[in-house]
Amino acid sequence: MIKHVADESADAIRISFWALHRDSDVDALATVLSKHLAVTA
Amino acid sequence: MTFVDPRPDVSVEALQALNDDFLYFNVAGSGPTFPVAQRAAEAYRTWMNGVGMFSHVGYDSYNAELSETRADLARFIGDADGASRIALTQSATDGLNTLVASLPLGPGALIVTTAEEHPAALLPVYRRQDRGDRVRVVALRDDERFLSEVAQAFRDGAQAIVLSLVSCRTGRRLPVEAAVGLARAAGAVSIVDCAQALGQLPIEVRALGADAAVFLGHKWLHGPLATGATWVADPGRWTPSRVGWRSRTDHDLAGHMTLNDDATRFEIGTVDVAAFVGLRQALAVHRVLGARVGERVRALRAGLLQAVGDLPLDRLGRADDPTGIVVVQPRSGGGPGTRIGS
Repeated sequence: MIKHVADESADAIRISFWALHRDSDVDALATVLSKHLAVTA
Repeated sequence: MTFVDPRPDVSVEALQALNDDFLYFNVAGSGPTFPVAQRAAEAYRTWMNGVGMFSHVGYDSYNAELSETRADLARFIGDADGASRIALTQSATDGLNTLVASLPLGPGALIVTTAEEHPAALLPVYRRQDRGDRVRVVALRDDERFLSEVAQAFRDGAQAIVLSLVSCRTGRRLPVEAAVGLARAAGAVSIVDCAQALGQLPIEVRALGADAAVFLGHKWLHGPLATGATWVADPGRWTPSRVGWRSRTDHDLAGHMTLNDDATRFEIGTVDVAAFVGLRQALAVHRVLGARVGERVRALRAGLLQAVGDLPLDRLGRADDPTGIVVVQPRSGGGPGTRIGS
């Protein structure tokens, strides 16, 4: 779960993590992001 | 009787509240409560319910636990003797609303805030316009330009500034000490929102130089929900906008009241004391972890930035901001159809 920030000045995602997270969590997030980020020309 | 373990197990396994299959990256919204803090709160709640809050046993304990929580929070933010400067609140939003509404300003005052603020700060500041006050929102592009615009606002007569230590929008650490210094030099009042800072950055509240600061327990501290605090350098300078039976030492039927001398003049009524016991347990976890929190956050930030570096995203904020908040948006010029997928 991450936060989608969408208002008049931004369309962004906020990722926030703390010391409890593991390196593998970050790797998994990056993988999910790359799969879900839809880019069309 | 004590419900807080000063040397809790701080292994990842012991502190992890989430289910194994749940990947959660919204600590800036709410950090899951440490199980040990949850247990401390529930144990106290069960005990209190067995004696009744307004029994002589229950109410003495209620007051003692809240007093110890104020003292513990003051120590945690670097004001060792500052219990009298702490008021317990339900959240940062709660504290900001009360402080901003209580700002001791002259009529038609100009109030400065920033575009980095959460609605929890912006909306109470906007509300001051109903009293005839004016608001100036300063953008944060770079620190130098930001401070220049803040300085200009004080030259224009601004009487107060409300700003965050860490931005919820970008994860940036704002140049708070310098901005607050400008306010002080102008004789203006300053309020710092530390909601996104406490628990991921060490805080020495007096070093910020502000007149007041706001904290909460359920984000980076991983404490129970509905726990927060306000630190006020000089409580006697403020007249609270809202008061209740916990705010005063005396009142009569002729319309007089005598407020508490200390920051508890900002407290109004009954709170969930058990949640504040849980908050103290969360503080005990942080004390045992010490500098490991910051070190780990910085390492994870570096790893995340590297892992998403090849994706068509622009980062808001700086690579070396010392926070666990990373905000990205579709790369500028990435094409008319560039968007964030669901």
